[in-house]
Amino acid sequence: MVGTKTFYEDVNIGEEIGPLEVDVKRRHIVRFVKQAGLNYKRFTDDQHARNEGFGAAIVPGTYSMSQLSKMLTDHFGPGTIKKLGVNYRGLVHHGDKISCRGIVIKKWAEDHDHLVECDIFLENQRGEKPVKGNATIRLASRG
Amino acid sequence: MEPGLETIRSLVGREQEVGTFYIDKERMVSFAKVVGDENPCYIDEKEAEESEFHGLIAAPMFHSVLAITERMPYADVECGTTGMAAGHECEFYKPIRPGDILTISCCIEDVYEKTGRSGKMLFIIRRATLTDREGQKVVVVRHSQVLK
Repeated sequence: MVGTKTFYEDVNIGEEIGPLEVDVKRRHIVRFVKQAGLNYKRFTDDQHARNEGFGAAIVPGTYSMSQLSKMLTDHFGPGTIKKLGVNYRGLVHHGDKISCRGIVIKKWAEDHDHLVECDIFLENQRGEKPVKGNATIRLASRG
Repeated sequence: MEPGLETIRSLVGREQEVGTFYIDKERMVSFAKVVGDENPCYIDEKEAEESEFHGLIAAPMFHSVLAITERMPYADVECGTTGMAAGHECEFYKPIRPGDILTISCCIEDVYEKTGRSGKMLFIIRRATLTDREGQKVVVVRHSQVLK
């Protein structure tokens, strides 16, 4: 729904976020790379990526982040992400089926802000988690 | 000529403005569709007008179309065999809107070496700050690159 947001009071520690299931299609990555001006062949060319030691064409980290941010805003509402940080522990390849998930680990009020912290990750079809991180969400309070 | 490690270290903390960018609506909407994040606030002007945002806002990672990572100091440095992203962090201060004019300034925030299972690695942390016409922060991005 447009602008629908979760209220701080309605969030529970341990609450699960997602999953957002994404089929990482080559054509989406090619379009993303073009939009983002990422002129690295490792993102679009399998042979070039192999030559660099990546096995096959890989997915830019910012694409993975865009899926994690979508998962968060689908759950909490647009405009709620205060901070989003990830570490890249492995590679995401074209054709991977990824599942974006998260869990609420903390909530607190600070300087008129009502904040929620979440652990987030992206898991592939092999059960690996190549992207892990956390997010801080800023929510409205009922009072 | 490739910059040496000492050259990169000498740049730590030195902020440089890398450009000013006009944010157009079509690019915002196109990005949201490309990443499959089609909340009406990002793509439907009429619905966005009726929302709390009173107009379109950009999807969270839209700033990546400004190729921020590529504009950072020595973005293409190769101090070993392979350079790749190790981590990424964004702090969001206010939504990006159509018609915004954003200025990007970048700096190398830190450089350090670490030895892991695969040997010695060099980490370069770069920061980009996007500000609006009023000089207010819109997004701050930190990008960690690892070179082996």
